[in-house]
Amino acid sequence: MEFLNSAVFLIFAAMIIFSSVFAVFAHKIEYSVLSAVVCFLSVGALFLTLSADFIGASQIMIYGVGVSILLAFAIMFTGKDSPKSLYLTNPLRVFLGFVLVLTFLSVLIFFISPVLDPKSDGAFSSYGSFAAQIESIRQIGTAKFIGRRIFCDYVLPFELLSLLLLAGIVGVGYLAGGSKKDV
Amino acid sequence: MEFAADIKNLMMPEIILFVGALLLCFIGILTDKAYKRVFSIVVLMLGLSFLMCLQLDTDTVSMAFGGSFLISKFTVFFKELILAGTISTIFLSDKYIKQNQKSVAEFYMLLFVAALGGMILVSSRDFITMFVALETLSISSYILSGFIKEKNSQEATLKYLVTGCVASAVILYGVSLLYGMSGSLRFDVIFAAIKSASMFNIAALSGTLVISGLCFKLATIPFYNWAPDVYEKSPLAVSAFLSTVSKVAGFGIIIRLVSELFNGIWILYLVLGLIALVSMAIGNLLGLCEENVKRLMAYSSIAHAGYILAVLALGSTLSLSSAVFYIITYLLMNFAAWSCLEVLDNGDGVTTESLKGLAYKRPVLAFCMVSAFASLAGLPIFVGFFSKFYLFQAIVFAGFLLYPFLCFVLLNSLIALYYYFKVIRAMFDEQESEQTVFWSKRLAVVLVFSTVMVLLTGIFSSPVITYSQQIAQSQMPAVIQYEAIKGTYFDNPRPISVR
Amino acid sequence: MIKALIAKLFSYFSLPHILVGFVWVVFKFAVIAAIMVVVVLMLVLMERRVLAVLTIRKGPNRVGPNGLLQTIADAIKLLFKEDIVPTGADRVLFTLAPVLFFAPVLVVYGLIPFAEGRAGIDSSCSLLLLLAVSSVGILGLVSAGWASNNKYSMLGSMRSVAQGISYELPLVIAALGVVLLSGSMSLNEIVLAQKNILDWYILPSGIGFFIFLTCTLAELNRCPFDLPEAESELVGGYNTEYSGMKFALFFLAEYALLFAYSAVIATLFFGGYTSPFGVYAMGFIPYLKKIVFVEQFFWLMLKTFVIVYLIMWIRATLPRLRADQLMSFSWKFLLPLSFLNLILLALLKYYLG
Repeated sequence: MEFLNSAVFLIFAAMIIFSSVFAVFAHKIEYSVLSAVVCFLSVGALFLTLSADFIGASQIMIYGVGVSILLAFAIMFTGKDSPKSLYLTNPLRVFLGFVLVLTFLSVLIFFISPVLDPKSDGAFSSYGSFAAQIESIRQIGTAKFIGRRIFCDYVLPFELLSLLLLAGIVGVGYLAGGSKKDV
Repeated sequence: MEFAADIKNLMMPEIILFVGALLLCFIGILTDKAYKRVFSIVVLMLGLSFLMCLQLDTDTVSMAFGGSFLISKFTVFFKELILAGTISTIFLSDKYIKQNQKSVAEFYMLLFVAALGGMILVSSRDFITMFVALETLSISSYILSGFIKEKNSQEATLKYLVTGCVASAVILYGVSLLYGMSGSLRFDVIFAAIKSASMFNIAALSGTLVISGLCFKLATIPFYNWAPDVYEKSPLAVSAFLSTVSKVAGFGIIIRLVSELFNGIWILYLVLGLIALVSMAIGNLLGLCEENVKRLMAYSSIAHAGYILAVLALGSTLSLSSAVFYIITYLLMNFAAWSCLEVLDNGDGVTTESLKGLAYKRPVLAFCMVSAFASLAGLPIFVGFFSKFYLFQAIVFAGFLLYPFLCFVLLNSLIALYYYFKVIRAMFDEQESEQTVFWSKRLAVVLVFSTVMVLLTGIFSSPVITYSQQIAQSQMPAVIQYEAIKGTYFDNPRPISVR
Repeated sequence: MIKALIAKLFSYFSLPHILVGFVWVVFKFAVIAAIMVVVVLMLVLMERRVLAVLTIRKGPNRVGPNGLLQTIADAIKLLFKEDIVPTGADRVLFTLAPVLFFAPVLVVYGLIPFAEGRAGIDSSCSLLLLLAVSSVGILGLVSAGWASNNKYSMLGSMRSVAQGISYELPLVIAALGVVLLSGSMSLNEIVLAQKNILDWYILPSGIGFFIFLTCTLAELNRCPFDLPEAESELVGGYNTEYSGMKFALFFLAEYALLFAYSAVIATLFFGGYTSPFGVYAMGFIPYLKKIVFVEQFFWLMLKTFVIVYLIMWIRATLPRLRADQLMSFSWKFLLPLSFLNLILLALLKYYLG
């Protein structure tokens, strides 16, 4: 099962990368949206392969369904006259983008690689052995653990989030609702 | 029950704002026209919150919510600044409120939420609280900036929103690296992990990401390009809010991150210095050919944020106290300038063209304007001079290696003189142009208060300096640590081996 | 048992042992897919006969003994039909849409526990996962409507999306009431918490059942919420342009989902695979004790088919709603009601243990 799990993990990881690249390079905006959805769903699947069922299910529910349906709605309402591709027509921009990505990638590798070295003293040592890591990840994924964390350790951001959502609702209501003068 | 008592004692200012925001939401649902009464409620609430901040015991550091909320002299001071700025914004918004009497309660509610977000941001002690508070501040700012329902304004808001989303993503990327490496989101735990393990590199990288993401709040490099459009097209009170309160909150958290979490990561000081230099250069150069005064204020605020970051990059007690002093004075000068503009704004913005002859027609207003802009430019007898002076002093004391740095900052303030004086000169132009002005008592209160403060603190600046030194001292234990490290860095410009 | 058999077969043919897990998963899903196809064939016939009875007609009774082979004949007809793609359609999305609609249904079947511990996917959050995955299918409808390049399809899919979003919320919150009562999000544990008829969650959470059933009807686009495919207004809704196998996939997925949702209702509110009397008849017989899961499967099927019958009955009885009535019913009535239900259940749990 270990082998199967890691194979599935790799497949979904590759899907995330390909679908997000395709989302950027697709010629039609509908394809972009669809591949973004594939990306969201694959992220959910990644969580599931790591036995973080609750997070995976939430990811699928919020991004795979909620966000993607909003995106699809927006596309359907804008119709077919949407501009084809905005940025990728300019070769200079594409080139600069690639340079930027490669630079960031090399910086990332340069900075992270010493920590990933298994002989290094730090970083991952706080998690203990591999088996212990797996176990701790299993615990982190459960709804009980997440609930504890939210309602004990992070109750302040949780409460603040409620106000944030209220402000968001009020704001959207204001921005979307036409004033009488406009109508 | 101890938990509840703790929260009641320590979080009263936030609780008042929270209740106030809910109350305003209900008022907004129930009625659309009671804007006069709403105003008094709002000011009362904010004043009460401010008083609660003042009575907090700040001699000892205390925490609430299991250590995710920090009350220290430093954080409480920043909260007071945020509340003072919000009160001024509310006085300043009088004109906007009078002209569009709809959705007044919603406007105030969003201001409350933004202020609350800023206050919690400043005193957050773990990354989740920090991020949620940051988003609370940001999202309410997005909505506030789009409060004028007009195409250009909406476009500016969209720009603001998209830039903000990118900035948030950058912050989260940095945080996720830190979390992956240390297994915790708490500042103290991560700090310990950075010290103990081979995490110097990762801390430098993620610190760079987090801080450049937070630069969105300061409108500096790399996320500065929203500022001119948004400042121009939002309601003026909102622009004032964005250029003061939102920035103060951003500075508060950046100072705390640099001194408490990324303490001793020398790369980060280089990054801060770089951000500072590039943003002051960009702000000043772009400001040179700008005619619209609101946009000019945006460029000026980019440059000012650059100055403050430049002095923070030195990482000594002296520099911290000069930064704090600069932030206080920046708040005063900006409110003086914005309130003058609000008086003059007739709906299509204020340009240097429309200011012509103001000095002869309305000498008092022109005087206020001159004092504000001269102070922003850093001329003597106004408070801006002392803050600049103090800033240069901090750089000079940091050592002769930094003299090129000092020259660059000096050069920048010279460039800035040009565009501030362009505004001042226009007011003394013989040729007169039509001006409609708007006066109200509430607006006059801010204008007079901030102008008097600009003049007064310019003449008697020493108590404020002493106060800001105290504030800087209270972040001291951390500061001492990074002074020692700075020494090693300048003696031996190679990475400090942590492994 | 079967897994061991597969392992034995693998070692007999000296195939890499690593693949056993893979084959096992494939096997499980093959069984589930088989169940699904059989169930759909039964359901289509059942629907036609039930509607016929309720509207005092005869229904299909020519093909095979008493009309039993009617659906098989229909399926064969659909298989051999020409596969038409309209000229203006987006070929890729048009082909992908039925698959997108169909694939999540299979996962939903995998999550339902058909007998004790016998679900295709063993998960501690299977209820949440089920609700999440089942609504992914809406994307298939969206892309079908968009790709067909037909305004009726478009309107149909737009309606289905609006409906899906609005009814998803009360549905989840009603399910949350059950989670609150049982203290678990695993469907298996929810079932085990209601072992006889007195423990069924329909008793404390009757409102929840009503909400869940209503929202299920809306999610399935069934009468009285069948606006997305209202024949009299939109020709056929999102599947107007579809024919042949692709149409069959939509058809199949709809009926499969009908059964799956009914099974979920049975699981959440009627004790799932457990016997209503608290004991299994097969449990008393020594040799049959080992295969008590057959009886559990029987109970689940019985309960599910009762609910399916209920849904068909509703279809035969109630007229279609108007679009605005549909929306206000969800947002102004069902959503507050579901919150009320949740609060009541929380109070119940707190005061009565």
